[in-house]
Amino acid sequence: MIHFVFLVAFCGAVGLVLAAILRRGIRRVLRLAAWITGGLVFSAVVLGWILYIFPL
Amino acid sequence: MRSNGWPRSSGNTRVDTVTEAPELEPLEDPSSDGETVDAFASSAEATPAEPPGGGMFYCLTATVLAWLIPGAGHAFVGQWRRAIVFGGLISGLFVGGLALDGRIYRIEEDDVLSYAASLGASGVGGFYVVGHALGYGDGDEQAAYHEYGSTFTLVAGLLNLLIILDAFDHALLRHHARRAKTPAAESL
Repeated sequence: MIHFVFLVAFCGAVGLVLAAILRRGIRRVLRLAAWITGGLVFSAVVLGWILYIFPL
Repeated sequence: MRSNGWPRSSGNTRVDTVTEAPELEPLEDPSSDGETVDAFASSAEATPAEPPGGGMFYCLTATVLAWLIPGAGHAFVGQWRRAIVFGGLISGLFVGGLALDGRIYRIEEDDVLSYAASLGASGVGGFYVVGHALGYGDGDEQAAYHEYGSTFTLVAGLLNLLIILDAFDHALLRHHARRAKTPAAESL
């Protein structure tokens, strides 16, 4: 569980910084930050499941 | 004779047909929801005050400040809200990475990738120097979240590199706004 918390915190920070650089206006910044954060978390979970079938 | 729609001229008579050009509306970002006010801008940003320096010196000062202290570059050009957001997030990422016993990458001669990693991590500037000076650079490889912490410190530096470029961009824009307002400032 703590791994997922770290993942969400990391993705949220990255998303907020990128959105604040790319957009103007608090509402638009938050909207893009939510999209970036969600995309990163979703990608990480999907990639984790895909890699799960490959033994290392 | 059939008219082709163009005004006819007879001989050398010049035909001056002045048509009123329609007034163009300003372009609007299609993704915009009608907001044109930069809510991240402080009052000083909306009406740029006279910058203390001029030209490239002003832009370089903002760049160096943004490298030394995350968010300081934006504070220098008057964007206080962005400065607080950037400073808080980058500082939080970096300090959080150190709290997770992460390492601060440095150049190691036998590791080629450490060159790129240390270049990225050094983007956080003052924190990078102070962190190494205080002995937090190596982290604890036996710690459970060592890799997480190392990623946090590295990405904090990489994100601050983008923020440095953004601070330089805003300083340049503000300088151009100043030049447009006061033509005598072109000599600066």
